[in-house]
Amino acid sequence: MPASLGEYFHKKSDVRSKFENRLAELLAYQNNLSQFGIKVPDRTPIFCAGCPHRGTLYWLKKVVEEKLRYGVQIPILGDIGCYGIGFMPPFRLVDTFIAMGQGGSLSFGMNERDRFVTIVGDSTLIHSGMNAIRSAVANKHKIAYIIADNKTVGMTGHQPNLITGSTISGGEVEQMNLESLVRSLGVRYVDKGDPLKREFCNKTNNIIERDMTEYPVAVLIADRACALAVKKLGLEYEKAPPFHACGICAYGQIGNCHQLENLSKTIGCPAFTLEESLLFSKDKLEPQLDESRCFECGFCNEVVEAYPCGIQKRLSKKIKSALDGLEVYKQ
Amino acid sequence: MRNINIYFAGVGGEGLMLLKEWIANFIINLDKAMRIEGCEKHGLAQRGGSTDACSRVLPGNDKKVWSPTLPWYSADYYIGLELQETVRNLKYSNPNKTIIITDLNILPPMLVLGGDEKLPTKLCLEKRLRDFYKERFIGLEATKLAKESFGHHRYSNAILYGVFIYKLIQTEFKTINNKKEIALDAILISGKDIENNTKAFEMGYNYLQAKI
Repeated sequence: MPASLGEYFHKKSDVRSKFENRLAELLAYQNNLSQFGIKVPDRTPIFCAGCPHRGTLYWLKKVVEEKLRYGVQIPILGDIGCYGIGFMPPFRLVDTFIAMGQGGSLSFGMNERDRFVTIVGDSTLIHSGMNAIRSAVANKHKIAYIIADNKTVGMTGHQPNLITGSTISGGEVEQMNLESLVRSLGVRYVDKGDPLKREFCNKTNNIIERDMTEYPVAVLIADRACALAVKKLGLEYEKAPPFHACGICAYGQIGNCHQLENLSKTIGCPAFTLEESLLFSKDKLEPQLDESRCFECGFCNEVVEAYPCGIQKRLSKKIKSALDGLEVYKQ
Repeated sequence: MRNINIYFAGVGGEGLMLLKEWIANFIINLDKAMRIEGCEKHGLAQRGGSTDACSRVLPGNDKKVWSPTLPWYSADYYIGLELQETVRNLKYSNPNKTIIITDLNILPPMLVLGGDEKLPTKLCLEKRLRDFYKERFIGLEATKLAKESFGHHRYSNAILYGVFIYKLIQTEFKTINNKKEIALDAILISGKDIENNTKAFEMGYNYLQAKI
């Protein structure tokens, strides 16, 4: 009997030769595959079509960029949940991503003068986020909370959480009111809105700009159900048509609309694909809306209406003046 | 009968796990003595990231599957639901024996849409794969076919399933009868759109027949 495995390995020549043959075989495969020589771009996870967090993060990014123009930096503290993907492109917004409930708690060790924004999901809030809100209220920390209430645990596969009003086996129980829960923690400014509508931008701006001495903690509840769970759990979801090129300019008539390009870059929706351009050479790819992948959340339309292109702006002015003229004519 | 290793690569949300379930059901119904094990990536799978899955099949006598994951260079069959993901995970394939069945569809990742990186062209990828795997490479425009004939891209997996079943029957299970009926029964587990899925399956099944 050999003393060690190494000795066994050296003495038994057939084991060694087998091993060496296998190694040579694997190295040959590796060499062969390395000749393939084409690298493909990395694929980062993005929000699903119809996801409410897309709206929450998009409007927050707009507000933060606006503040940055005047030299005010706002740290965004993320938490565990789907909205944590916000640190990836296209948003690149969330600064921290550590543990459940760590978003709000982290800000206690930071600079006291500044305003922080924390994003918390409904499941994380009921798990370990509430104590951070209460201690922020008790110690007068200046935090703006956005509670992304998507009515389920999105990231792990749509299990019910303690707020949703169903037991873990699917039975019905009494629902919990998130707004009154937050008020009972001592928060004086609580607002609620639909993140996929453009009014949410103003609401986000409001909680950040609130007077910090009067309202140290401000909470905004983003109220929209998870798109993937709508069918599964029978939740309510308001649908709206997606954006189509208006066809006023020459680009829009063929479908190579500049707004489409802008949308595909900024909102990160999986319904946007690249297809061969009709206008330019075949090498150039143009973004197109693939309707079979669209969930009809209508968010792209809201963004376009909030930030219209130059042609639409001028047109709307002309139409307005034309309408005014008509009224004058009628009188 | 030999061991069969099957590898799946695709983008999250494309229906990779259901396709895997269909294939597992088909193999178990063919011969009850066979054993199949596998594993998938969960979590980010729903969110448009890159995902993969493995299946290992062992014939009746040796019933134990020691590990559900595949070692590199060991897949006998490689099913790609998207062309870029097929190229990304080629380390699981073996240039000498793997049969690659892939959809020639390209879904642009966010880094490309945002303008950080460039997309390799479909023709370039397809030509390189064809040079590398010779006649063992089967590429078809399943998404395009599904959209043209059924109006939605979701039936593309059923087409790929048909192609795979035809290839599997031709190479592995020549002696068993009623193979096509068993393959159609496996579709029933999804429970909906059975009519269109059956049509899509036939389309894929006949695709290789017509070619050979």
